Amino acid sequence: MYWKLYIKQAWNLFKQNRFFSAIYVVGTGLAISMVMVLAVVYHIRTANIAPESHRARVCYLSDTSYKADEGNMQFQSNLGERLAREVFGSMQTPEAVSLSTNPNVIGRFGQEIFVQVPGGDDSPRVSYRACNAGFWRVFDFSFIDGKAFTEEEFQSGVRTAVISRSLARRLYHKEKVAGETLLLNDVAYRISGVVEDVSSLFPNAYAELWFPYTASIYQMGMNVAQEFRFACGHLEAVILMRQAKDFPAVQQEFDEAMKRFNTTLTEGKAVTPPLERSSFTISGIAQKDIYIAFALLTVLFLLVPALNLSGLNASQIQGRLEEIGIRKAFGASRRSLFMQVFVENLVLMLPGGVLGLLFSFVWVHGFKDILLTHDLWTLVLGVNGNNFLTAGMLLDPWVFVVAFGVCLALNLLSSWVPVWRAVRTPIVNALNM
Amino acid sequence: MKILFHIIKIVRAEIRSNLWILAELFVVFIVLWVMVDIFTRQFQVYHQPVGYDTEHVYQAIISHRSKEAPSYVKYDDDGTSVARDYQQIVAQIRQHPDVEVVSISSYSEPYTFSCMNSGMQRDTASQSVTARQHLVTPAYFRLFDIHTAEGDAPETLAEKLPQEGMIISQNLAEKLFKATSAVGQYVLMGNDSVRISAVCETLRNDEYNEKLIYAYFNPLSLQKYAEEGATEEDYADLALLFRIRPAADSRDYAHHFLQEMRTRLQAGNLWLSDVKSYEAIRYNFLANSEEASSQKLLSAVGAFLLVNVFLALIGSFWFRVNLRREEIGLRMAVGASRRSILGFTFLEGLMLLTLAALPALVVCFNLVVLDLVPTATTDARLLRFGWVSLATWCLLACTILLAIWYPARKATHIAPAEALHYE
Repeated sequence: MYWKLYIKQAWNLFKQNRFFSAIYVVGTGLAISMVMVLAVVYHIRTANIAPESHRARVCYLSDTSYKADEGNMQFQSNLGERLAREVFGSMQTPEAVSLSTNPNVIGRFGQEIFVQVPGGDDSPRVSYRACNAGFWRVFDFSFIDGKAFTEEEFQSGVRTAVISRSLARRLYHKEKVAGETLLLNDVAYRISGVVEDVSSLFPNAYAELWFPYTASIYQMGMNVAQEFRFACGHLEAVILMRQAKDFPAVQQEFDEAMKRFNTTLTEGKAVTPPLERSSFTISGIAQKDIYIAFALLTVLFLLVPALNLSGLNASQIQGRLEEIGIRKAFGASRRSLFMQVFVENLVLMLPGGVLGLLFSFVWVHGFKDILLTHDLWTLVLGVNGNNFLTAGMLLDPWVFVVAFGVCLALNLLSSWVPVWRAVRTPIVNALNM
Repeated sequence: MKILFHIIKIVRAEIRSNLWILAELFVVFIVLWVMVDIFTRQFQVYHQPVGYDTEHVYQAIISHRSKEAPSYVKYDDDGTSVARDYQQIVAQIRQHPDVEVVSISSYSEPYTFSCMNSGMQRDTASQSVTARQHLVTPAYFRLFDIHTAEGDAPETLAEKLPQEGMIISQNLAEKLFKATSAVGQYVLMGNDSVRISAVCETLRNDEYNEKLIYAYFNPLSLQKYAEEGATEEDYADLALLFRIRPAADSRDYAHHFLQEMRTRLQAGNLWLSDVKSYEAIRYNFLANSEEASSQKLLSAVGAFLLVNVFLALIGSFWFRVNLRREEIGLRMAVGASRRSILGFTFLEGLMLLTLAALPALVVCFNLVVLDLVPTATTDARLLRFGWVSLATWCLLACTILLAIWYPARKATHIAPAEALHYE
């Protein structure tokens, strides 16, 4: 093989025809960037990225409805505290279960929390999650200082809280604040730990403040009288399974536990939808439609530029028919000629790929609201304020592999026909040029 | 004219390589046409008057302490103490030297999604019209600088509001009575007959709001609120807005106001938790709107398509110029100037575009006829169709000229002798 020679030759061609090369590189870059946007979005929304490090083996349950036996009364909401505690508490198959409130939903109920350092004059409204101790096992937070509250603290309702790095900075002007006191709507909590900021692109983990829901200043439905509130409340469950293939077993155990729970109800019945696996949605569009749209877009984004680039390739090869004729006259096989053009194009395509990847990061950053928000209302109401991107979301070996694959595919698609035609030109004609 | 036929001949002769370009131009022309149509329409809608002037307007966010908080003050009366607390806060804001107007309203502010609607009709026989209720204090008109339909000062509306009857917007008056002057007329709301006391200018919720809102105004009375036993939550739900002297306004005025007034604006369980500039509220609303999102996405798709047209043309013209070196050489030898060769190549590109545009326009025209793209009034349709088509053509023409320029220039720089030598 003449790899080295081909690459050297390609480099020289690149230098000889700068304008053509620049157009080619930028053109491929843009084409690749479109496909890469799809890949990066898919990666961010589905891959295991901290704190949602276990997306592959979690399932979700957020809604339930309660139907009264008499009359037409029906309630629908997030899970009630008693249902969540009794049903998930009895389950053995899952590794851990996280129960927490959803900051976007709870805000609509007017359960706001303002925090303040004792004696301080800044009291911002914060996005918070009242959660259980299992939350810290299901999600993977990195602690800068202190640690999460424990199961015992949760059980006994100790007033303790975890805050994000930027909230600590804002309130205390430093980051190591474990052990300090923080006022939540004037109630004193002890800070047990400080975590790295979480992007609101992780809708199941995002908040600025976390505390045990047993120690919430708002009524969490723990000592309620009405039966419908046993079933309906403010909690959402994320279940971490030991293995992804446990899902049917978890569902079965859950159904049995629900049956047992329903025997404790006397006036009605709680009905839950089936547990949900991690799914891929954009702005509230369902997974199936998104997959179809992605498949179509990938084909479109690859095919259209490929056809256009093939025109560019054809013009380039046109000018080199003499060279090809001479090489053929001296006995070069079609295969090796094909390989040569292929490698040359790839050399041009690779900087295009790098450029495309960079472009795609710019695209994703510019369009993160539309592309990365999971439901439309979050987008329109603009409550997805903290949706920053981190290097961990963008730089991933998998994304690079896809980028290279796209380069290769685009290269093959765009150089196949022109090269094929050039290589088949009769030697005499080619030499005649 | 002759040269055009000649170019058509050339285009036909190279139909095989042109077919792909024509097909691509055809599709891209349709997509771009629809996009230009959407963009120009949104631009027009955006620049129609909104009716609200949000400059120098701020919103004071009043929060209430939760009942679970230890510092919660428990009142034993039926709401008079809470009313007193709220009015104390309002009075404090009013007394601030920078503040010109203070308005209180309930779900009646522009750039929001929350609204209250109800139906009204001229008489029992006529069609019912759904209109948005504005529950406001008289200062609301001065705050947002809302004029009467005749253009009189906001004070006129402020005077009329507390009087019997209600104020309606101009477009609602026209809808109900087919006339702007509806003062003194009556409309039916449920079983009540309500007198129109004044007509104000037409309003829109936001710049993208295409359908004008039918608006009617009722006075909001804090006294009535208190009598009905409003709780802290009810008061926190009201929008407390104020406008400041233009000279006092600055970039971070909201922050300064909050810092300065936070301790003073506390009464009972109510307190000032935030101050927002209404310009910022407007900006965020517009930036997060579906229109802004779709504009961004469409622009990206449009840019992608234009880049592709560019690549397609630059590729094929490069190819063609390489192939046609002999022809070009011959032309130059016979005396064609560089400029004429350049012009000839450009014309060929534009001819291709026009050939693709004609069938594409048939499709676009059908889209308009079938009402698949929303257009303004019927009589303006044809004119609009022409404008949009021309704009699309120009957009593509620019891209094509840009793409052809380099290969064409290269072609003209061949020495005639060298080009001829190939033959």
